[in-house]
Formats: sequence, C-alpha cells, structure tokens
Amino acid sequence: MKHHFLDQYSDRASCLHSLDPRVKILAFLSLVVVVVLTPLTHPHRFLLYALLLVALVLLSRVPPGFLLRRSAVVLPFVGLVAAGLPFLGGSGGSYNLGPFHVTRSALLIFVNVLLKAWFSVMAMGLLVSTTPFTRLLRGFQSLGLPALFTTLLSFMYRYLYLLTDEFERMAMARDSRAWRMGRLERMRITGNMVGAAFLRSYERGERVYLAMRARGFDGRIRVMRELRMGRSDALFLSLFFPLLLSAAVI
Amino acid sequence: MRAVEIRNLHYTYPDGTRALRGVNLEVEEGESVFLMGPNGSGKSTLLLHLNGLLLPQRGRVRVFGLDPRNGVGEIRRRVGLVFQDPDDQLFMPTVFEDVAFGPLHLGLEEGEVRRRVRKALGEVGMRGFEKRSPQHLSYGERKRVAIATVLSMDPQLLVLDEPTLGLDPWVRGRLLSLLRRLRRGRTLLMAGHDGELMELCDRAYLLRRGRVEREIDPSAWREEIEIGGRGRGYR
Repeated sequence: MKHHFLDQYSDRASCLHSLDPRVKILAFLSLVVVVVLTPLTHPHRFLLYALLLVALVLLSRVPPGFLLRRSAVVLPFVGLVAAGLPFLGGSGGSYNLGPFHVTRSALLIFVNVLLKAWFSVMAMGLLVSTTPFTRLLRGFQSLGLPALFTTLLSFMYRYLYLLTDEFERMAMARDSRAWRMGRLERMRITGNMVGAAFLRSYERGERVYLAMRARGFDGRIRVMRELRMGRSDALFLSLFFPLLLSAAVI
Repeated sequence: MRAVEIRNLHYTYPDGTRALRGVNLEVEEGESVFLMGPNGSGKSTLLLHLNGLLLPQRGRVRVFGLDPRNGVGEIRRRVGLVFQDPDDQLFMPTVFEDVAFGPLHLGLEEGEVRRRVRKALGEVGMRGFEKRSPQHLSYGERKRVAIATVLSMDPQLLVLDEPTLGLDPWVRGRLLSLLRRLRRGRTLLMAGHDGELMELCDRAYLLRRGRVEREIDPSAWREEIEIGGRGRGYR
C-alpha cells in the first residue's frame, strides 16, 4: 500500500522542487518570520506577501486547491480565537454581529491571526509539497538540527507507513470476522488493536535496533553530507530575498 | 582458519524459553553451510550469536578465532547478518542511505562509502533504486536491498536468515541465482527450510529443539522432508 499523507506532490518536477532543501527551508522560514512580524497597520504588505505566495505556488506546479485544502488546518485555531472575540474590549467603535458586539480592535486581532496563520501554513505546506521528506530532513540537518533529532524523524517517516499498514490489516481482519458489532464492542476491540499495534511496534523497534547494531551502530549516528548548492539556488536566493524584503518595507 | 566454531552453546531467553541447548557447529572459511530447521528450532537465536548481538550464556563461540566477549566491533566488521524481515533490516528513509549505513558506521570516508553502495547495489541488481524509499519497493526488491546493506560492508562471512521466505517462485528463483553468485569467494551460512536453498550449499545440518541433531546431505532434501512428514527427526 502506498501512503502519501506527509509529502504528496513532493516528487514532481518544477524549478522549486529542484532547489536545494536548505535554500527552501531558509526562504520559507524567513517568509513566515517576516509575515508574523509585520504589523497589521500596513495591510498592503499582506497583499504583496500573498502575491509572492501565489507566484511560488505557480512556480511549484502543486495544485493550488490541494494547498488551500491543506491550509484549512488553521481554521479550528482561528475559530478558537474568533470565539473569544466578543469578550475582548478595545476602542475604535464596535460592530453588531447577531447577538454579539465585537469591537474594531478585536476584529483587527482576528484578521491579524487569520492572515498570519494562514500565510504561514501555506508557506510550510508549499515547502513540504516541494521537498521529499528525506531531503527536508537532510536540509534541516545540515542547517544544524542535531542528528539524533533528524534520525528519530526519519525512523518515524519510515515506520509510520508500516504501522498504518499493520493497523489497516488488523481492521480488515476484524471486519471480515465481525461485521455486525455494537458500538461498545467495536470500541473495545479497537482498544485491543491499539494495544497489539503498540506491542508489535515495540518488538519491531527491538529488531530494528539489533539490525542497526549488526551493521556497526554504536550509539553515534553518522550521516553523509551530500547536498550541493547550484546556480539555480543562487538565482532563487538572489530573487526571493530582495522581493521579500522590499514587500516588508514598502 | 575456521570462520565459525561453536561449542556446547546454550541460550535461554528471559521468559524462560530455552532456545539453544548445546549447539555444536563448525564452518570452514570459503564453504557454504545450511542450517535446516523447523520453525522455533533456534535458528534465529543461533544466528544472532554470530554477530555478537547475543553473547553465549554457556559454551563458547569463536568467529574467525575472535571471542565476542572480548569485543564485537571486529566481528561485526567481518560478519554480515541479513535478518528475516527486510522491514527490520531497512530502517533508513532511502535505499541509498540504508546501504550506506554500514560503511558509514565502519568509519569509511564518503567517497569510499559511495563506491561501496554502488558496488553492492550492482551485485544485487538494484542499481537505479538509490533514491527510492523501502516502503515503495516490492517484497522481493526489499529482500535484495537488505542483502546489499551488508554486502556494502564487504563481509567475509555472510549470514542469512530464511532469505527465500515468503517469495513467489519467480522472485525466489532470481534470489537463488543471486545467492549462487554471492557464495563465490565468501563464506556463507544460511538458515531456513527451503530445499533448493539447501541444495546450493556444501554442507547442511539439521537443527532441532535447540541442538544440531546431525549432518544431512544437502541434495537429499526431499527425503529429509519426507522423513519429517512421518514425524522422525523433526518436531
């Protein structure tokens, strides 16, 4: 079975895909930082950021609909902020929204949170959709993230699929033998399955550790540095950062 | 020199399972030996001793004359152990990184690691798969990459636990001819119950209930399975 819930579209070919992961990490993280630090008193800047994002999306050839759907993960959080709005005070007049009164400054806070969260998630979604997970990890590693951390993440990436496969097989085995089941019974059995999945992955972990030691692992993780920046990376950097910075100061 | 010398080896798991009860086994350098044994006979436990992953509780183990109790580094350098389940063996996110894991942890420099990976993948016919993730390979492909992950360490002794288990006849046939090629110039120790696999070895032993019961004729596997079916010699 193939799963692609982490880095779908990351194996496509576009000029954004072919960039060095470090370049993309730096670029997209700076975009997030700049967006978050921009005060809402300059709304036109957000328009420029949006244009920059749109340009990047077009360059990446990742379907915009996919990125938009994925960026919907911010909605619950923004919704949480929205739920608190009527209780915020502040000046600048207020609006009547049904039974609630919302002040202008509270509304500004809401727009602020919505735009910043949404732009950031779009930027990160674009990063993940244009960089295979393994290259992303290698990028983070050569930018200084400890090898222990990246190795743990790479194990997660490797075995998450196996674990979901295993769980799906167990669910199939359950459904093939018990297709009429009360909700309580179903929950009980699912609980057992979670326990079994835990035990299996624990045992898998033990065997993987043996396999690592058999090949000379002694507790110190060694990795290869095999990223190389090219001319297109330099070109991208020399276009992206001036654009981002000018958008941030205009 | 003897590649493997095992005398009266015992091993009991913490839960009380007595996996090995006095194993004796010798493997000369350059020969290929097959350990035939039913499920649960102690094959895998025995193989873990060859790489110092388990240390003898009783009895003695020598691998190329080295005692694993005096350090396992050199033993692991010389012995390549391929586990039964390729999903245990392949733990890195890409084929390249997995095959490079062993050489990197031997402390080789990057150019040499690259050369070794290329050679090992070539030997198992998996060149061109470097950037693929193990989860996107077929079972047979994963088996071959798993073998490459130890070939890249250039082991003198290659130990394989049930290499043909769970393969369809076509993939199995390719793996058998790969193993036939790999045995040249190497010492090979394999465990399992695949008759044709046994046939390509110089010698074979029957392992049963934690003991090497007797030597068997590698070409006579049909008769052995026949005997086993009648309940003599096997569990």
